[in-house]
Amino acid sequence: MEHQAPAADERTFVDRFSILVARLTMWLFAIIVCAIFYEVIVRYLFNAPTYWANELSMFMGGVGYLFAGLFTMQRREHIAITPIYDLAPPRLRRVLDLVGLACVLVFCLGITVGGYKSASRALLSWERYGTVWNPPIPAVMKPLILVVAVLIAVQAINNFVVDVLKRREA
Amino acid sequence: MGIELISVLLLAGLLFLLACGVPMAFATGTLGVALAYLNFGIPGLGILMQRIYSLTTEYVLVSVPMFILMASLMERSGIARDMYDALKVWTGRITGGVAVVTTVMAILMAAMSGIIGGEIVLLGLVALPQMLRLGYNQNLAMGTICAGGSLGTMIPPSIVLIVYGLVAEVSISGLFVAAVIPGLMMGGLYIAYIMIRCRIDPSLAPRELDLAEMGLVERLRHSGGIVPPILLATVVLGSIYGGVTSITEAAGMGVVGTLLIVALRRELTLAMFIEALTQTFRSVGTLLWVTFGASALIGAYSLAGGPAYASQLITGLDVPPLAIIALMMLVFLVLGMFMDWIGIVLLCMPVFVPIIKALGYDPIWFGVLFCINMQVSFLSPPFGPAAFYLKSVAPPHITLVDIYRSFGPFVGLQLVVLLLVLLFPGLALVLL
Repeated sequence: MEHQAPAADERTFVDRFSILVARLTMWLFAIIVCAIFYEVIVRYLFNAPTYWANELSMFMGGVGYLFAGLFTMQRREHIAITPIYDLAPPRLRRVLDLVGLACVLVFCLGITVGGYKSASRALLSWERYGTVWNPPIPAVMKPLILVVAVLIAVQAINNFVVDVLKRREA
Repeated sequence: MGIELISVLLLAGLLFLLACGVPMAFATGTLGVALAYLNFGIPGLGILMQRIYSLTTEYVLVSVPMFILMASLMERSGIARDMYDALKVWTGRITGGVAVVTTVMAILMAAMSGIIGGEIVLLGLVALPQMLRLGYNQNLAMGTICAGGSLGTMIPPSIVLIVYGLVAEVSISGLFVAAVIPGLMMGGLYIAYIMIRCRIDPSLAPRELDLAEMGLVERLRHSGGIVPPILLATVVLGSIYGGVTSITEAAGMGVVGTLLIVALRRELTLAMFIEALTQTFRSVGTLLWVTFGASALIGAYSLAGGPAYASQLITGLDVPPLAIIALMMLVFLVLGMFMDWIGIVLLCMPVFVPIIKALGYDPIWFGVLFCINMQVSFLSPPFGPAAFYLKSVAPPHITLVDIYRSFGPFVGLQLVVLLLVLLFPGLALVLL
């Protein structure tokens, strides 16, 4: 890949925000480990399974997956097949970058436009999961999907602009 | 627009965007948006949110970050090095000893973790320098490491099988049971191949003489390093096969066990844990967003009636069912040269699995076949990920081309296993 994640002193505000969020949300996976450990222990040693551990794991995992995508975007590590890109002359690369950016924007816009209604409904009615523990998974996850989609789009635009400016300099 | 035309356009569009170097997550996602919008307008776009949301509430998917975290912790600990040292003392008298031990170690590690990257990196760090120092044939050494390391997703637990189970809606524990014999067969064939080749040409694998002299007691005393990995594999696989815990819980307990061992070895620091978490987070970001994108595309394609059409088209063909399956294997092998396993599962299975069921075959067996195909894909140029993992830790004079050249015989053995399981489904299904 031509594009590397920016070095520490070249990070924009958007980069720093994505990294900060990643550093916080990756601990959700540590919370999952604790929840599973607790559940297995109380279930087998004390014969008293929890009614929340599974849903908590799922919930934390879901939030983690979303923000992990933002982090991956910041680090420019989303899986791509790049031999043609690598061989392309600079001018063609710019076009390919634009195609890539367009795809990110279309996907994120599609998620946002298509999901807006159900997300706002879930949030406003504080929709719950409908189980014994009844966590507000839909009320949080659905709007969060939109938020992360927007953040990923912003990060993608940021990456694109940074690349263009860098080329100007060079 | 008819579904035939849509299918053709989608395929062309996907190939075009991927060739442009667009990340798979967004190439598939964009096509999903386009398809949903063109067919059903703005309301159709609701499918995207629906698909992503339902994936985030899939409990078994939580096992994926758990298995990755476990492997990331292991990678930063000396567990693998000690296991290697423990196994090494038994090698003095075996032909091709170190290569055989490397394969045994790969099998053991595969039984603990469900991914391949960490395993190849570890073997590359631990076993490759040893083999090169002893004067092993370089191709034999590298092929052994990459083929062995790839077993990480062939021998259960395996995230390839987890994702397949999710997409195909079949029992993941069933898949884990069915993959045991083919997985061990593959490992066994590697060992047999190494021993036979080294017997024919002993110069390929010089022995370590001082090890041959070691007595039994001495050997046993050195074998302690084998205990932690076996314990961990027992915890993870035992919980799953024994029906004691769900797969997700087994993976979580695997993390707990690894943490415990790493702590006992005094290797656990906050910095090390954060590094492992960060690595996990990065892998999860790539895997899950490909899943989101591909699943959005397949969601829109299903609404348009795509899989049903494809299924009808293929089952309507006047060819023997086995030929259809063979064709699918060919599709996997070709796609596997260019695409990541996760993209292939997500894009192909919604179309292929209904066909498999309609033809009267067991989707669990098909999952195992797919898993074997992906073993080949890890080693296939130009994008076989195994080569890249090894390259990242190999001495600088070894090039990617050298690495790919070493894979030939091992790919051959993988294809043998593929053929056997294809012709004798019992190899997968007998334990069920």
